[in-house]
Amino acid sequence: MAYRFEGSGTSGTFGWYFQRITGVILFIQVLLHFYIAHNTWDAGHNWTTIVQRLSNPYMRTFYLVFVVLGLYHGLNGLWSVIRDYHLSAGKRKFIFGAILTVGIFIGVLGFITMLTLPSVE
Amino acid sequence: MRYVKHYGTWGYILHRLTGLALTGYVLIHIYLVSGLHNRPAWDSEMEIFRHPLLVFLEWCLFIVVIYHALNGVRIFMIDYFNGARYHKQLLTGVLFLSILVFLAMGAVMFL
Repeated sequence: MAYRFEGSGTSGTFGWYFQRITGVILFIQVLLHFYIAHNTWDAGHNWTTIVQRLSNPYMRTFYLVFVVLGLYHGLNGLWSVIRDYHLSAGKRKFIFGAILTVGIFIGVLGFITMLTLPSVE
Repeated sequence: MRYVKHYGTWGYILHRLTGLALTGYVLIHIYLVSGLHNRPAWDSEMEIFRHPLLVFLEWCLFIVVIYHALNGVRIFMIDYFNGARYHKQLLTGVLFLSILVFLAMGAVMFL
């Protein structure tokens, strides 16, 4: 059994199910985000416009959720692609650790960015 | 990995490729946005993104997003709404709708 190191026979169910739940939420979030951040050049690139937007508590909450769900969904997807290649247990553990590390690092960075935003003068 | 390439397989391959691309993009994106803390550096960095080629690529990113999002809905329907019976028609719908919404987004961005 290729996956005997990864817990019980139902260990993948949560990942499968949660990929769908996060996918449905992200469907709404990513379209809103793309519209909000790209409908003009300034919306996505002008420092004042962006910082003002992220200063709004609802927007900030929206983006904090977006970062968590986006990273989870993306990295869990990457992990499921990697599992398809039937790598050895050692390689799998190493890659899983690397994915987890990158996810936590970038997630924390995203949180720091939004929770310690400079104020618009 | 080797695939038998039926029509639906292309949907699957495209979903993977767009998913991997988006994951890579999100990691870089969150990293770059953390640059908001240094306003002068941010301002000069963002000037690069006025280049027409980069604005065009920004629009192209949307076709990757919208295909993955709509095909995700297709996967959801296959899983929960008996979509396996009409998954090929769904894929045609996804491709058609993707291009349509992509063009609409182009109109929002450039008109």
